[in-house]
Amino acid sequence: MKKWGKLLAALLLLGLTTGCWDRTELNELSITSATAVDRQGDQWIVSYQVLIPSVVSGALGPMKGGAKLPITVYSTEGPTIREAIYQSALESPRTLFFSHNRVMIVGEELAKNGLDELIDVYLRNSDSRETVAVLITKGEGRKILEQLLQIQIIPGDGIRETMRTERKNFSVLPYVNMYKLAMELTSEARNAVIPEIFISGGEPVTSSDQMNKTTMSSKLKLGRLAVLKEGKLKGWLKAEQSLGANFLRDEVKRTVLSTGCGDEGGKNQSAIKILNSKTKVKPVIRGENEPIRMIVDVKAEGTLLETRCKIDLDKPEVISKLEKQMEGEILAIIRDGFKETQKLKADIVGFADLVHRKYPKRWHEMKSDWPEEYSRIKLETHVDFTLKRLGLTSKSFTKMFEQVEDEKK
Amino acid sequence: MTQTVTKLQCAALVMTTILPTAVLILPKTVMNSVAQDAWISLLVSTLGGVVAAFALGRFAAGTKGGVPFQKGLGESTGRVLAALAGLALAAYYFSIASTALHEFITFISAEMLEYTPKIVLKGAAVLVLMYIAAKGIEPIARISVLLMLTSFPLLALSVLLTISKMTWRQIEPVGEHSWTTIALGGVTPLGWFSEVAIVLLVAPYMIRPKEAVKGAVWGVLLTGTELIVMVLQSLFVFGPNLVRSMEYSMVDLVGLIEVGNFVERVEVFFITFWMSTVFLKLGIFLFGTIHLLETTLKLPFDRSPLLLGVGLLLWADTSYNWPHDMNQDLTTGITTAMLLVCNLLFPLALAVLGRLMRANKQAEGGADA
Repeated sequence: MKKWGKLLAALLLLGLTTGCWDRTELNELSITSATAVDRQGDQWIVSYQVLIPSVVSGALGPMKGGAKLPITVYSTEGPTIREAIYQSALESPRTLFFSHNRVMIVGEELAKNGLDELIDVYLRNSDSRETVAVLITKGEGRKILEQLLQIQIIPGDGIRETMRTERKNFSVLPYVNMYKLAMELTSEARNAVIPEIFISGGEPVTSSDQMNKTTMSSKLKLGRLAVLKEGKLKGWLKAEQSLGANFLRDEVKRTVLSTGCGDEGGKNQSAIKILNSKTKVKPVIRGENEPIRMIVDVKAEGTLLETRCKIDLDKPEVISKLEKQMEGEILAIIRDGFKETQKLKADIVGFADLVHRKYPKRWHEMKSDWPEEYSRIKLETHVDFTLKRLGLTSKSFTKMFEQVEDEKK
Repeated sequence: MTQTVTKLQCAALVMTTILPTAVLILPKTVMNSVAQDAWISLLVSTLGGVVAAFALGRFAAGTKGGVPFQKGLGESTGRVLAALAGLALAAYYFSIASTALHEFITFISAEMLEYTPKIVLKGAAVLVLMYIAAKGIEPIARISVLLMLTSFPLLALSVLLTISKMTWRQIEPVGEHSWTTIALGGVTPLGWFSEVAIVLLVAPYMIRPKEAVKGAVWGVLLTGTELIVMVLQSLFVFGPNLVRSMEYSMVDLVGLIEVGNFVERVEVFFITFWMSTVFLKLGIFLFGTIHLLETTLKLPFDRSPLLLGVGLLLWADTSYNWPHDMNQDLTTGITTAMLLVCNLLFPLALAVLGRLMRANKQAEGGADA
């Protein structure tokens, strides 16, 4: 009898411990893969790229004419971000679910007004994940969500993978997610960066019929780098300037640069892939009114990918000259990128943290006037580039061709 | 009363009593005071905790094996004082169990079960705690060892998985804050370390009560080490400024773990482990309350009715005593004072009083002779 009593009590307990108030069925959720936030007057416009699960699971093959699309995009409006999101209850039978949200697109207008409220939403609510990648676009963010991708079924996933691949193989733009953005904006400099995404080409691709072509009329592309000061958009860096800033931020993993032939001069004759790059920056403060000097040491290694120079790569002095020219290229890229950030008086490279770490007392004196101090910084850059590999042939085909011609003569 | 608790189990019990809630509150609290120097404050407070553990351990080691703390106290300070102390400590353990349970359920509610009424969550949790307390200190000690041994590899795993996101130089400039500020930053952690006072209740259950000193000191040292590693981990990943605004930085930290596209959202794994440690901690507090009431009131019946009554009271207290969930002032200000008074000052005052009274008795005995 006692046994039965215990069993009954255990069963009753089960009823209490299921957490059934928070029970959510999968078919009650709208899984968002990407979100865009825009500002229109005093209203927030939040747009969602929502997955259609039945189509995603069966959409591994090519799109057939008139076939259903794996996503749907819609927007809601409200005086605050969260109210705008909850307004979706008026038009959607399912609850929005943000845990699988891959990217957040920020409209330019919103970025100009400041991103504080948006970041607050992410840090305050457990359903929004700080790992979401952040991008900025000129115009409305919604347009980016509507654009379909051919290779990746879910565009939100595709955008994030493009960012990851770019960071891994080209390193022109940094990979920025929400926690990194919050971290940069709360750093000593209070500046941050966000990569741009835009629709390149003509008519946006928003239907399955447009997808069934080998060439699409337009595609999503990563572009420049937006510079934020105190959470507000203040300017843009071009791709090459962004690479320069990335060198200073020590965020270059791999990239490809075009250079000359060393001795023969000229430009864009050879392509060199940088495989490893390490940047060390050391601040030096001498006198009271002296501008801060930043000693930048870049150590990089690379491999030759392509050349049309008539040079003999078997000779060490030729390699050495090529390395010197490459060092000059990197130096110019860094200087150009840094100069642009100085023009904007936006320390996006984290020099403020370095000064604080090395000169804590001086930092507290100059903290309030940091943008001015930053614009006066003198950069002393030393680049040490080593060409590690030449590929599978040591002579350029142009040189070989020339040799054959000479032998014929 | 059987004496089965070993030195290792004693250290594990100390760790289980301090770590689960400290890990949630301390990164934010200490970084609010001393930013990147938080680890120094923690180091200082760990050393303070070791001193407290030594003093309380010595006091605990003085009790006779198999004789409950409150009864042993009666032999040195007199029945009346021992009864008052027993009731006061029981009230303290009850109060701290109620506060910690409220914090725990607030976290569960904020992170996972938003719509489930807290009164239901608290009721379910109290039932689990009653079960733990009913089983007594030996099973709690055995499970504490298991959790302690699991916590080290888990911590190492979380460090390994977040290492790519760490910036070591976030620790600089080292020692930017004055020593006074750093010491003040260590007051709140010291409050948590003072919970090592649980050793007073555990020692009589130990095979060799004399080993209570070593058990307490090792418990504090291991807890301090884990806390310092966790605070450094948060600092390296988020930087001092962001951690200050994060309620649960350790949860946010494991939430960042991503390995390719196949290892994501692993925080639930870490949270599940952490929840088991909190249940055990709260179980220890409820056990402390029951044990002290039992020995002080010398009830003529077994533990069950008392457990039921205290359980119901705990459920009611934790459910209706908190008009708001946010309790920052409470956790850092009032609770720290309460922890230091009830865990350090009060037991040490009892120890001193006991010694004085014993010395008096001996002197009187000598004079009579």
